[in-house]
Amino acid sequence: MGGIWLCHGKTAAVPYYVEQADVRLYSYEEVCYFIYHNLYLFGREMLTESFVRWLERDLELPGLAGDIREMVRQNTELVHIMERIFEDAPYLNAQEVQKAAKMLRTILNEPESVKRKKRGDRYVELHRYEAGIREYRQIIKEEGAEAYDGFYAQVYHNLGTACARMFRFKEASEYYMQSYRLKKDPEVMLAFTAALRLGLPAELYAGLIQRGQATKQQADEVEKRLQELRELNRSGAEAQELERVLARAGEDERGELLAITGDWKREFRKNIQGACVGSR
Amino acid sequence: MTRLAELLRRHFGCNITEEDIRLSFVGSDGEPMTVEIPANHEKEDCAVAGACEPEQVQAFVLTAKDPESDAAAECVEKIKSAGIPDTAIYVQDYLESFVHFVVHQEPDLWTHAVVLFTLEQGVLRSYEMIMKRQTRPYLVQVFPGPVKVFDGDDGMDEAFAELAMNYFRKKLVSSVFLAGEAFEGNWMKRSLKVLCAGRRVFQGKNLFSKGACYAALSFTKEKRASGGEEVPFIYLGERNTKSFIGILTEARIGRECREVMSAGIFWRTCHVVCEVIADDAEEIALVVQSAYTGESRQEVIPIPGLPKRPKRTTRLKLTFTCKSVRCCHVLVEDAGFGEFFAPSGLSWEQDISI
Repeated sequence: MGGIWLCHGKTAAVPYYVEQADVRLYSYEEVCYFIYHNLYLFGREMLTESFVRWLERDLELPGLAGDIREMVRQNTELVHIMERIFEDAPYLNAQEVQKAAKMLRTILNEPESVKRKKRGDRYVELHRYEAGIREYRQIIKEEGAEAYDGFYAQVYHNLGTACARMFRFKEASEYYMQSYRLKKDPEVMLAFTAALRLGLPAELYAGLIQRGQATKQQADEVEKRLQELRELNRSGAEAQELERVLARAGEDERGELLAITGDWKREFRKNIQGACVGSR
Repeated sequence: MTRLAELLRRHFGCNITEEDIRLSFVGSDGEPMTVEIPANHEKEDCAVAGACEPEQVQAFVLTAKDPESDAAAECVEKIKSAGIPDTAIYVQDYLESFVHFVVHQEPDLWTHAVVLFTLEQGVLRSYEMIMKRQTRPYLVQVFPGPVKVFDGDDGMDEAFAELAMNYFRKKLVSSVFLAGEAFEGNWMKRSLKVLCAGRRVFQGKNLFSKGACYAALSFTKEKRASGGEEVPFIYLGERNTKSFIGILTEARIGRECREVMSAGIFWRTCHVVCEVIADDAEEIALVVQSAYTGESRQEVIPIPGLPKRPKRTTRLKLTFTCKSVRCCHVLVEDAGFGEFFAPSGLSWEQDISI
């Protein structure tokens, strides 16, 4: 059954930029939504004076701002600060607030390596690949004990995936191999083979299969999955739009084509950037 | 522009007549003071009279005999072109300014009815302000009373006294206000005795612009420096909306009705915006409540076709404007959810009777 909630506070003309997630927040509801869905990225580093002032002046929530300021000053538990934010308006219901509090407590009690990995995973989900890679590499650098069986295998695997998403296939294949050496997972070997397939010229790739660095069975499976993905992609909105534009002849369409590919380029550049683009 | 004040002032009441411009703003004692600018000044230059930068004005209330006239609309355009923000400009009629003036005086003056007399070009008009205190905010109405056309100056005092005696018969009147320069001079002898019997009487020529200045403070919820408590009231004038509009929303427990548009707004300049979060909703339920009777009814605005998004990630912007004093137009627009979900471009509209 649907519902309507009156928005709390104002919608900010100037958003608050959350550097960790490269996202701009415009309202109280977006703040709650962001925190609730990104608990691994919520920490004291977000609760700056700049953030509190933005709550006070741009969202016109002086009560909430004052309380957060005081709670930070008194070094109040992070969970309680989060609860205070959520309880300022009924955007999240009581069960959701309790669930978030329980999850945040679990997160805060996890080993640092696990927190880092989950942060990295969340960055990769948000297409912030460089940020994700930084977290994974830091885990490897710290060389702690395995948080659980297969932990480091997962970290290497996810490192490989983050690199692959940025078309850095050679690096990806090296990380996949590291992961496979730690835990012999057939899917990881398949990912390794796919990274070679996508990153190497056809002759070199064929030579590797001949020399047994990747089995023919794996190579066939990779081709099958690539074909499936091509077909899936062809039926997608973006590919159809591109085909429509390409099918039309003439200079007029060039601008449209550049617009489509321009969007892809911008998205890719955004995803691979690691530096902060500016805070509020 | 002429610099008329050293200090920054941000709340203004302005009465533009054929003869002059009366501009009131808050003085150093926290009460409105008025400057009179002769009509031969360029009216657009005098919109703010240099008391502060136009874009810093928080509320500029134009008061006019007929706020719906072309002349009033022209004044508003000149005020805008002086650089005062759109959202800071309000328009009201003289009676509404009168009400704002009265409620900002000491409460003893409006315990019972308050009477206003105006005298212009030989025509004496009377009005009675009644405040109903059974509700909060209080409801205020102004009813026209007897009118007397004087044929020359002879017998004005007697005629006024006669009119006042009949008008006040069986009425409890706390105070009387005489607005206009025509009441100056010593011609009121018997009439003044009648008016003053058991009431306080005030005479002045800047009542409307000062009232508009008080209105400017009220509209921006500014407290007067004197620390007087704001009196919550709704003015139900001829040109003011007569109903409250609320929206049924989810609360921590159950549902509640939250007011989004008050009664008592001048219908022409009514422009109220609010935002809601919709979760799998197909309609918005509004509650329209009569300020007179307190009776309420529901009005439903269907919003079919909202894009499917995760829970509570659709922001809807509702804009309320009036097509007439009895008809409110509601525009609902999908505003997306910040950077998470872009707006779909969908909108829905409906007229509701108020």
